[in-house]
Amino acid sequence: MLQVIRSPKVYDVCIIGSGAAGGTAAKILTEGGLNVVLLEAGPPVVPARDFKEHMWPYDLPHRGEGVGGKHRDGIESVNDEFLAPNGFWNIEGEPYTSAPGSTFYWFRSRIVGGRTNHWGRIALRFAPVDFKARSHDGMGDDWPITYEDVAPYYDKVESYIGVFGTKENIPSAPDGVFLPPPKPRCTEVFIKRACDKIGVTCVPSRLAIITKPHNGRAACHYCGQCGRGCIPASNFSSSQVMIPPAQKTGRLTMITEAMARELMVGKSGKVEAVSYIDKKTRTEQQVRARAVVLGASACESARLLLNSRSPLFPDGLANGSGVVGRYLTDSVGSNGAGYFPQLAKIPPHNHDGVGGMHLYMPWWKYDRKNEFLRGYHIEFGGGRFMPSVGEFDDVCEQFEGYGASLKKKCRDSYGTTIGFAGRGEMIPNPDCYCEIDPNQVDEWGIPVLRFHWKWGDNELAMAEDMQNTFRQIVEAAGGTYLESRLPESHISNGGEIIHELGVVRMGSDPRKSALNGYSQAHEVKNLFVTDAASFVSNADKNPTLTIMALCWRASEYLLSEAKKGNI
Amino acid sequence: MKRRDALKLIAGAAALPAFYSQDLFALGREIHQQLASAAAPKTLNPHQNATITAIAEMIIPATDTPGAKAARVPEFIDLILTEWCTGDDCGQFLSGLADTDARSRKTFSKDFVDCSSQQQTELLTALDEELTQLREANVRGRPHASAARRELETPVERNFFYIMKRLTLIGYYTSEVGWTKELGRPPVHMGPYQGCVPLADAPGKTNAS
Repeated sequence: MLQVIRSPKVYDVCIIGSGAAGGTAAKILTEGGLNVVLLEAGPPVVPARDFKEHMWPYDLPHRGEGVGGKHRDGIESVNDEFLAPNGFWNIEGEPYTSAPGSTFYWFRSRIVGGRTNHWGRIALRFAPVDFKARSHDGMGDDWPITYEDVAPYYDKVESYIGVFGTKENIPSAPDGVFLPPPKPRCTEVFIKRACDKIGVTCVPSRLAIITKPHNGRAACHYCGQCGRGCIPASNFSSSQVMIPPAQKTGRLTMITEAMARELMVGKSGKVEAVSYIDKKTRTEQQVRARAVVLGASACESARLLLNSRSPLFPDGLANGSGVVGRYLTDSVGSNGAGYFPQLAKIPPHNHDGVGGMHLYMPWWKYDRKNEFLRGYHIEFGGGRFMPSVGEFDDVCEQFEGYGASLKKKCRDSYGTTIGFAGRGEMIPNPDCYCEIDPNQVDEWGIPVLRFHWKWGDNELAMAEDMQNTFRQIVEAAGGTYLESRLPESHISNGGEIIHELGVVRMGSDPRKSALNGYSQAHEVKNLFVTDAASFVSNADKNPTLTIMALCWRASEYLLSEAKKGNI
Repeated sequence: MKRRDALKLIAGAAALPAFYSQDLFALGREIHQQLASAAAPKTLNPHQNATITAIAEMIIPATDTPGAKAARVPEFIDLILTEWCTGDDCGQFLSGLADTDARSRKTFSKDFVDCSSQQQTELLTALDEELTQLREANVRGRPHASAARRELETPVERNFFYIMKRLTLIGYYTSEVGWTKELGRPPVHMGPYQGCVPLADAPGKTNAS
């Protein structure tokens, strides 16, 4: 039996996690005057040391591939050496399992800032209909809140973190508080022309990257490497934009390498303490607080609740409804690419821009009946980016010969491929959920999650529509659509898009939901779940902006309830 | 290019901002210089290294721009063999290399590196043709197998010349020579972003430090 060390101090709030949700909660709650302790399962991030900004492939021994010289196969080997320290599909000592017949990938970050250190910075608002989809088409469930409830918080988040974009008045993609967008790249102008021809809406993207100095942060310097982390914080990360103001208040105690194990409930039915493993000393510790805010990432938050069983909550904390772990969704993902030999003729030009797309296609078929319900947006990119490992693999595989002819073939094909990625809404189904695996614990002795996954027919039909759209765009632009070499990969694997959410959902009926509209547990008044676990639906909008807006709103509510003595 | 990588969309081009990057620039240089000083191959013996160097230079020769040797591709291949190859893969590669010499001795009674360039071309062309046949056999042999299965089962990826070609392309195009000389990218920050404008018309293109 481990010795448990209890801290005598009682904090106002214990936050678990330091990413989009945990960072936002830390800022709002400490600025509101509360004393906060934050548990983060990973180490601190030091941008000047950890971010690989401005290095060329030849500045790193493995040319940007692998981490610490380790080669990683499969979906993990994506220029790892360059990426900001961001987490992994597999963490040694901290496994998860998939049920027989299910494939699910779970990306986890263990570092201050979590996945916001490396994310794509795509910052899209949910539309009014996204909160009321069931009323619209009878599938899934409505949120207990409306767009109008969340809109002021979208405003606050965008105003604070800085998001570029343009006012477009598209019903499926509400406008926000925007900084000016960067001009489109050559390949983006080229694709937009094709979209205009076939009636696909293509507008400036909306990314959390500042194109003007903003709240003390320097404007983007257009190195195009946001995924590596940004030392001057011209793009948004929780570690650089949310945590520092919280620390400045003097009211934030951050404990890193602290893996939360269980929420401890007192006789009153409220959470009184959080038990965690101090990874450095491998000891179990407890920290006490008057309220707990979960921002551990959707599935980690569900895992923590399910692992917090007590006589009062035999099926897991705040799980009287049995919904914790259920309603798991990810974005529908489908990728394609076009080959445009004519792009080889473009004169030398600056292709850098921001790290990510300058244009995108918001859902444009909201005004007609489609073969499937809900919608998707399209992200795209290509051109003369810095070659990475594998850049000319296709030439290597398809071209016979070697020597000057091979060299010419590579030169001619450089920058002539444009990739497309559809990101669509999945409707929750009973086959997709996570639960505690009764047979496995991680290296800290904490029971792990087991995932169940199956796409529904609506998602498969949507992915096919994405493929058809990519083909139409490519052909309208005068290119050749490249058939996917893996026909079964027209749809992504569950979890692969890293938008997994919904497993501690909110709702107005406590029998069918775990949280109320303020992300507060129906059954445990001093417990809030502010990451994407609370989402009722997984609209075709990348979730991060909505996580922050909902967390900001929940944190203000917590503050006001604390002042009234209701927590 | 791995088309399935969504992250590809967020991995942009490298550049160097003129206004604050001196330290980072220095850091990059430092690492690069460490590489430069670590020239002795760790896995390849001198003969193997000479053979790899000759083959790499034939795959990507010097033309109007430098070739694989000037881009230090052999060093990169040695690093991959040393640090990433499992024993089996590494052994397979090295026996493929030895087989190249064996063929050379059989046909021309000397090692590959000692052959005339015409003889070397003859040997490599034979290897390349075998690779093509291997590929075709793969497709023909399993007409009902999906592309995915073919890809998984293919022995093409275990073929010495295929690996040699692929590593040469990776090593070359991620090198300073490949990036700046062959693909024509100035290795500097290109100034304020101008959108779709030819470099010749873009102000700030030379504001590198």
